[in-house]
Amino acid sequence: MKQYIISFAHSFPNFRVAELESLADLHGVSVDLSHHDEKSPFLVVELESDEDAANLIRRSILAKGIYELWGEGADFDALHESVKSRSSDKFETYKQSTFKFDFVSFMGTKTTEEKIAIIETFKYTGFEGKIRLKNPEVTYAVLEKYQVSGMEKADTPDYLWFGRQVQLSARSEGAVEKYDLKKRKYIGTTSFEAELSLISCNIGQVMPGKFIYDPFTGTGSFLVAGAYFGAYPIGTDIDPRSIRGKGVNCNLKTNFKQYGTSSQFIDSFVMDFTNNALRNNLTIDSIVCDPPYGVREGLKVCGAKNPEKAAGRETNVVEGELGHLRRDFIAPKKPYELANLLEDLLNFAAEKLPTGGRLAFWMPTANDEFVEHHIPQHERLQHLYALEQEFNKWSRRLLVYVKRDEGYRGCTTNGMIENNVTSFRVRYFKSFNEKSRTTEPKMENLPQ
Amino acid sequence: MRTAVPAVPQYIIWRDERKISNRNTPPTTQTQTQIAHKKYNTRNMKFITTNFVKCAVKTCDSSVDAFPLQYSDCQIVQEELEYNPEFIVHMLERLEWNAVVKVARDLGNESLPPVKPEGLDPIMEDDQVILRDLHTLLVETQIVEGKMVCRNCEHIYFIKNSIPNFLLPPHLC
Ligand SMILES: C[S@@+](CC[C@H](N)C(=O)[O-])C[C@H]1O[C@@H](n2cnc3c(N)ncnc32)[C@H](O)[C@@H]1O
Ligand SMILES: [Zn+2]
Repeated sequence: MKQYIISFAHSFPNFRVAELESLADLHGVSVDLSHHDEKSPFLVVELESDEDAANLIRRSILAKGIYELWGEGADFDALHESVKSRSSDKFETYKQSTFKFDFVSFMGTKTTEEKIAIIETFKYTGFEGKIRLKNPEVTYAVLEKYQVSGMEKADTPDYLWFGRQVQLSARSEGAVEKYDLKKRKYIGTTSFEAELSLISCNIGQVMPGKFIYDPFTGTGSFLVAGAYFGAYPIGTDIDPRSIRGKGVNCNLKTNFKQYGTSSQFIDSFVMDFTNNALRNNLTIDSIVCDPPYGVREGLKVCGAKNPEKAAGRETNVVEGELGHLRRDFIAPKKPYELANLLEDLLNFAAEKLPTGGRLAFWMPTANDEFVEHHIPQHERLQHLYALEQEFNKWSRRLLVYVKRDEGYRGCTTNGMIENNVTSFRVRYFKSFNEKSRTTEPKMENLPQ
Repeated sequence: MRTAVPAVPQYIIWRDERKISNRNTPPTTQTQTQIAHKKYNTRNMKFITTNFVKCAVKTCDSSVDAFPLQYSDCQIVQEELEYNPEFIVHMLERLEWNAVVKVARDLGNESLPPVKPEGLDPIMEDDQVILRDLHTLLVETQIVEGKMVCRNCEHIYFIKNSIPNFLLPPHLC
């Protein structure tokens, strides 16, 4: 095993371990991340090879890069001592390679003069290759950690590492900016931000050449993110408007075109997830979604709101045809509970995922009411993560499950139904006050 | 084992010299199952999708007649799309070939081979020809209007303005 150092972006630190574990698992890389510290932008890990290091980081959104660790120390003198004593044998290998130096510092910036002065201090490595800022054969990095107290950053770093760059991440290649919603043609109020969409796909282990399905496609945020990682997206939504898009040049299909992934896109169509038309024996490798919880759009399924009133309508005849068999028939919708929908989602995942396949979805909760046992469970799915993104009065969690083989037996529970968890929508519109916590949800009284 | 697959046009349901690209005007050829549609380029139901969808009615779940659906009164277009041989190879693994043959027949092509072409390799020249044809069939051949009928319950689903719609009336939910 060799030591490597990972540098992280200052973003969603509580999602890092899940992302890297998922990518490690996906590529069969063994790595221990148990010593990860959310407060530090760096993590030293032991890995078998450069190849493992590259596989671990290439797709990452939360890591910026990974470096073969050559030395470390509390100041430059200590760093140089460390590099000389543990990595002198490497100097010869890279002696003739073209190279450049990078400075990876969390919250620190340096002038060019300062950088040159530091590079000078590495003279003892004896590198003879030309310095090349564009496409060098080797990139070395000085990684610096600064003590930050309050808003003040210390003048000098309190710890330093030196290493050889092995792999930059998808983030460093610009994936997050590329998928920025501000630059995307077809978006809507439900579009999911690019960074967390990409992270969801990583933790959902979306794979090149495999299916990614979003049962609540909307504007397709997870599908375009999945295509970025090489998967084949398929999407459905109950709302024809979301599938149609906003015109010939503004729809899901043109989004794929914008990102150059059109040739991976399978298709999208209008379907109520709870009356599912996907064939039974179709294997779906990953499911990534943001179910309708009713804040921006009501949670609806096909059916009559008032079954008594609707009784007998199936025999209605219009112009000599049964009404419900006509091209212009519009299927009525009725409200549905999120807890039931999530149960449907788990059942669907248990049936359609291959062993090892993942389901990743976002679940909103009011801050005062989330408890672990509200996480719905299915006996064939092992729950892996509940990763929280906090807002002011509410938060949402990315819940991630993996389908296990025949031998696995978890238990099936739905704590939300058992504990009568109040509809998120009711509480959202009542701003999460104490009273709304115990109020029975009355869907018909909700703002539409 | 490699299946011997006869060459070319058997995969082609409808070949129009001026394939649809988003800039061209829609083709004007019109036969029984083939007419151009003004909204053809918004988005279309790809042929391949017919292999993934069944009747949405729950009581049809166990019926062998709920998949594939029966396609009738279909308007078909062919849209020129980027050829991605890996995509076709991966999709072949997932396809129920009997259903491909059945739906192609619904749409007027009786000449598909009865056995799924397997082990195709994008590097091999002979395979390229077949993969290209499969690309034309599965991805470029699209339904813009039509009916999908369940052979079990006879419910009719429509492909309207290029969008397949599986929403059910209340009595079938
Ligand atoms: C929170 S939004 C997801 C938006 C999506 N992530 C995006 O990028 O725009 C939920 C979506 O679920 C859809 N939906 C609501 N009820 C549904 C149902 N029963 N079946 C399928 N889709 C449904 C809504 O139309 C909406 O587009
Ligand atoms: Zn049916």
